[in-house]
Amino acid sequence: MKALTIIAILLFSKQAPAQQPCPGFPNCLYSAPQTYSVAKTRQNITYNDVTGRSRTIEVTIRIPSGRSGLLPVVIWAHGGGDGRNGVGASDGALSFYSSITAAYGYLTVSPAFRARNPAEEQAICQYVGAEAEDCERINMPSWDRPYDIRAILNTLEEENRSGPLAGRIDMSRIAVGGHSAGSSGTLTVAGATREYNGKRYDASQLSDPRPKAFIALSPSAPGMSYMFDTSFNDPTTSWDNIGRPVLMATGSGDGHEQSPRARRIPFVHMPPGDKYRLWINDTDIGHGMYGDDLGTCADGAVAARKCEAVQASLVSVVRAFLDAYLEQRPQAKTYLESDFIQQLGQGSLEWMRK
Amino acid sequence: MKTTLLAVFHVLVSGPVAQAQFPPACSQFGPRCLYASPVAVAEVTALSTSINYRDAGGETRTLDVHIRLPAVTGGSLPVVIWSPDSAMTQAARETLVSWSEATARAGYLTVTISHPLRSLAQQVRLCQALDLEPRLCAVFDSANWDWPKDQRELISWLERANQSGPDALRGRIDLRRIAMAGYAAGGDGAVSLAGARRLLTTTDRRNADDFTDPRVVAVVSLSPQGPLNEGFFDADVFKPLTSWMSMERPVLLATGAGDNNCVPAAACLKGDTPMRRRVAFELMPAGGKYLMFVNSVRMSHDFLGTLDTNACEQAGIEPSLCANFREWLHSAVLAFLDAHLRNLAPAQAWIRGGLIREASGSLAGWETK
Repeated sequence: MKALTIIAILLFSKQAPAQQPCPGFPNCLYSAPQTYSVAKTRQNITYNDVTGRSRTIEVTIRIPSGRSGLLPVVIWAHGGGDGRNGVGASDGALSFYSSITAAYGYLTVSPAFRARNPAEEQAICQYVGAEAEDCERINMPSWDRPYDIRAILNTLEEENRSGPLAGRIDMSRIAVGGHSAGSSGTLTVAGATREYNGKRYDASQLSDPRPKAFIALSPSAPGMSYMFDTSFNDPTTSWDNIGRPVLMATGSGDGHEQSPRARRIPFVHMPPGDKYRLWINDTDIGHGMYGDDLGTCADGAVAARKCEAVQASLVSVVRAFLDAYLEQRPQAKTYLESDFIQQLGQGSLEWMRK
Repeated sequence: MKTTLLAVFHVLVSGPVAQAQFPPACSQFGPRCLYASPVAVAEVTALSTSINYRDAGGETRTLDVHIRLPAVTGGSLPVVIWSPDSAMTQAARETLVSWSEATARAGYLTVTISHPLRSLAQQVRLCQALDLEPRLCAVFDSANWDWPKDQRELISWLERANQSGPDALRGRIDLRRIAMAGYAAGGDGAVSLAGARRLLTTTDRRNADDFTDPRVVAVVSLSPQGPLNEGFFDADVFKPLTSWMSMERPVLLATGAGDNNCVPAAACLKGDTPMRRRVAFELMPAGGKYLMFVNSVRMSHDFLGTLDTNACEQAGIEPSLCANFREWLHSAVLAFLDAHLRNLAPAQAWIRGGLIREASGSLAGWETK
C-alpha cells in the first residue's frame, strides 16, 4: 500500500509539493500502524425468512491473525441484482475490500446473497401482495439483503457465545458496507425506508440497531432500487432516518443504469451528523471500480497508475472511517474532518461532510 | 430539505415577511420584494390559428396556436412561446393560461401551442421514417421528438407571419428576442432548442439528437427533466458527455420538493423526482443559469404548469400558500424574461441577487451560475 500512496500523490499532483501539504498524513492519505495476516473460512448461515421458509446464504469470514482482544467487525454486502450463487460464491464477493479490512484487523464477513428459485420468489410476492406483473419488478436479492445481514448479525452473536470465535467478536463495534445494490441493503440496515409494490417498509421492519457505522459505495438515487424522494404532500424520503455514521463514495463515471450525479442525492437527504461523501470526478472510474472491480482495475480497463491512485484514495477514506467510528482513533477522525483527501485529488476528488 | 415544514409554518404564521426584514436590495421591489415587470398592459387581444408542416415521414402535422397580443403601440415585441406537457391535450387557448396571460400582460407577444399526440399507427410510421431499430421504437415516445420539432416550426411560422402574416402580427414580432418556455415535456423541448442533446433515435452520445435552434435567446423550463428518462443523459464510464453540457444560452429551471411524478415513486421509469430534476442545472455550464427550487412539498407537479390555485386549495393547501406559490413563480419567470429579453437592470438585479429567497421567507431557493 505504501507504493500505492506514492503513486497516488504523484498521479494526482500537478507538481511536487514544496512542503508537506497534509500534516500528519504522508501523501495526504490515512494509514494505520499495523496490518495482519488473514485466515479465511467459509460457512453457511440459515434462517427463516418473512414467509417462514428456510433460507441459506454462504459467507466467507476473514479473520486477522495475531490481533489480540476483541475484534471489530466489517460485513461487506456485494452488489448485483442476480445474486451470487453456488458453493464458494462468497469468496469473491467484494474481495478487495474484504481482504483489506481483514488485513487492517477487522473480522470481515462477506456474504453471497443467493438468488431465489421461482417458488421462493412467489412466496415473497404473496407476502408483499404483488400480482404476477408487479412481482417481476421486485428484485429478490434487494429484498433479501437486509434480512440476510440481520441473520449474519444473529450468527455473529451466537458464534461469540460458542465455537472457535467465542469471546473474540466485539458486537459493539460492527460496520456494514456495501456496493451498488449492496449499498442499498446496507443503508436499509442503517434505517432507510424502502418501497415495494407501493408499500413502505421502514426502519422498524428492516433496520438493525447493532451496527455502528455504514459504508455505501455507489449508492442508489431516489426513484431507483425501491428508494424514494419527496413528493406532493409527502416530505419523507428513504434516507430521513439514517442517524448513524455513513461514508458514501461515487463519481462521475458511476452510471450503470443510473445517473452518477443522482447517486449523490442520498447524502443530501440524510440528516447531518457523521456523514461523508467522496466524489471521484473522473469518468474512467466506472461503477464496478467502486466495488468488485477495484482490485483488478476493471480487468485492466483502467490505466494501472490511475487505478492504483483510486485504490489508495478509496482505501484511505474507508480505513479512516472504520478506524474513526469502530476503533475510536482520533487521528482517523481528524482525517475525516479535514480536506486532505480533496487536496490529494487536485480537483479530481470532492470530499463532503456534514 | 428538513426545513420544509418549519419554513411552511413560518410563512403561514407570519405571512409575507415585513419589509423591515428585507435587505436594502429589496427596496426597489415593493413591500414584498417581489419582481413586477415595469411593463403592465391592461388590454390584450387574442387570435387563434393553426400551423401545418410535414414531419419526418411526410405526414401533415397540425399545431393549434393561440396568440395573445398585448396592446402596446408601435414597434416589435419580444416573444414568449409557451409549450405544455404531453398530458395537456386542451386547445391552445386553454393551455398554460395563467402563464400565457402573465407574459402577455407584461408586454410579451405570447404564443401558446397545443401539440397533437400521435396515434399508435402514426408513431410506428414515425419510427419507420426515422429508421429506428425495433428495440428503440418500442420505448420511443414520439412526444419527445415532436415537441421540439413543433416548437421550431412555430418559430419559422412566426418569421413568416412577421413578413406576410395577419395585420396584427406583421412587423410586430421581434425575432431577435424569442424565449421558449415550457412545462414538463414542453420544457424538455425548450431546453432541447437551447442545446440539450437527447438519446431518442440513437444510443450514441456523440451523435445524440440535436434540436438546437439559434433563434431562441432564453429558455424557461418548469418541472425540468433530469437524466435517464425522456432521452436525457448523464455521464457514464468512459462517456463524459451529458445532455446539458452544450447549453450556453440563459436558462431558468423551476421545480420544488413536491414536483415528483414518478410512478411508482421508488422505481422511476417515467417522470422524475425533485432532487433528480436539479441535476439538469448542475450539469449545465455556468453562465446565465438559474434554478428556483420551492422547498415545500405542498406545491405539486401539476401546479407548476397550471398555477391553478383552486385545485391547490382543493388538495388541502392553505389558500395563502397557493397564492404565494403562484406569485413567486410569476415573479421569477418575469424577472428572468425581463432580464434576458429586455435587459432591464432591475430584473437583472433581482435575479442575480436571488431575491426570491427574501420574498418567500426562504421557502424558495435560488441558485445562479
